[in-house]
Amino acid sequence: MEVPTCCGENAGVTTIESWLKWKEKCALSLCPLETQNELMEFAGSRFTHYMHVYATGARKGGLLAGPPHARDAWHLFETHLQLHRTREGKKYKEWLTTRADKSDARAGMESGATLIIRSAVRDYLHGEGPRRMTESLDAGLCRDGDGNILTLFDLLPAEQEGYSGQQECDALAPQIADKVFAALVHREKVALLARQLDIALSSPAATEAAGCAKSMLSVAFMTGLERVAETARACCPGEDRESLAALAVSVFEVVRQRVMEWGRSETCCLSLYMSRKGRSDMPGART
Amino acid sequence: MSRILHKDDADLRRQRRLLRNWLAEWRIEQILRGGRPDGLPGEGPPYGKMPAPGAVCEIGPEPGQVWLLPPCDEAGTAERPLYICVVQHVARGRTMIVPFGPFGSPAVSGEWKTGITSKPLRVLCFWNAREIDASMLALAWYSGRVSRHSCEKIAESFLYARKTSNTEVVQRGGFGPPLRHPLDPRHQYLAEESELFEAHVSSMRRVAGTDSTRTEVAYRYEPGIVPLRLAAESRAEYGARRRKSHGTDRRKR
Repeated sequence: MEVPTCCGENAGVTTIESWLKWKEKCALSLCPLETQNELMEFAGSRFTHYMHVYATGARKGGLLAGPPHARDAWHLFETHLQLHRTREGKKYKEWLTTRADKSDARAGMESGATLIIRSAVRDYLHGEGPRRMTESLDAGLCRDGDGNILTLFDLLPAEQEGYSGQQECDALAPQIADKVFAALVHREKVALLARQLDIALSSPAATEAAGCAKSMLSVAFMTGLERVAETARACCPGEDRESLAALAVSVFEVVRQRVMEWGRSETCCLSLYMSRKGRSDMPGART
Repeated sequence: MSRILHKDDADLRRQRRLLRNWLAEWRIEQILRGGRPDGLPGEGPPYGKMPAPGAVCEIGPEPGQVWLLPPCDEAGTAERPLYICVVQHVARGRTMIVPFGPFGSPAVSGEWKTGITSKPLRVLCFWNAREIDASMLALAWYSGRVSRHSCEKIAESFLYARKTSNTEVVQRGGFGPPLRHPLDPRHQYLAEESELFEAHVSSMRRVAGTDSTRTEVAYRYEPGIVPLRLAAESRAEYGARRRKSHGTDRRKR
């Protein structure tokens, strides 16, 4: 079934009074009919929009079940973050109104509700999608930097039995890791180190150590990870993908050790360790 | 390199199945993030003002309670309502909180499926646990508590995750698959979740006026990551060092 892209000229237009009435009455069914229609239309139009976004993005327009009726869309929105049916269990309404507490409260409410509807659509699509048990483990999941498709066999390669494959991986990994480490730029090392130390890339300690903004550091984190896999692949061009996946995992382990050793000797990374002070003695930390 | 033989056992199949489930949700999320409805002012920028300390709730935190963190002026905190669970009291005035994850399946071996059907409470992210000053929760909304049975299971799994080696955690039901490959999308997910929770906690700490030297103690439970200790770092037993720093904090105050 094709997913419609619009729901009428005024579909999805709300007023802040309607939202506040809904919050005050606790349930939409206790609100005036006009309010009910207004908010349900809003939920329906947003739900339809995201169904369309997914249909376009996943190229599955013809395979999607149709979006639910506006009433159903509202129900999915209203119950998505509800813990139970008391006011206490619907504190997400407080979150919405606090979030909207600014000059344009209606827009704030609508954008907050839209975010929640987006999550509700995700759950809806996930629940309505094909049964995961029927999908092949070898199906493509995502792409690497070169456009190669990665599968579950790549992301979770099997434990290596016997000695030959494991020994070769162990022997090759340090050499390749040295190449990777030499190729990593400063901010990539800092990003990998920060994540290894469980420090958010947006933290002042991380951005100061890297000498760049958090958005640049996030990019550096991803390019650093890609560099590990790319170098492993480039060093062993003739290997099959299973061996390459296992090698990438081994190289990644060694690179992380190299990055930790590097961080301990770098003055600029001192703040990273300082911000982590007190964390390593927690039993959950790996030792 | 000679061909690597597989030990394709039940654990590996289970891990791959879990990962496939998680990736399906992640993939949908990425597609949906790409499209914003026309005419909307945007989903990203934070809007609201954080409530004044104590203005929201005066209930003291107890294990098993669920709280909803408020949006604030830190980027990202208005992106998603974030529920947390109080896991345990760790010291006087200090409490351990764990955020719930956005998806229905655990992403990594530090995440645990609670078995609770309510959608916001399906997965607990033990790897993102934090010890905070309990007074900070006065800024959040008390949203109820899990059942006594769930509370016991959460406490048990939390302790188990903290004390058990990575491999053993992976083999226990309810925990997610390990993170091993550098190109795994879960690296991005962990970075995003870490950033989101950090933004929440740091802004709450700022508003609550918590002394920055009494900052939360956090640890992550990410597979394969083996932080090396600094030469000066001790190997004190759990609790010993914390009590010491707590005493130091009191002296500072």
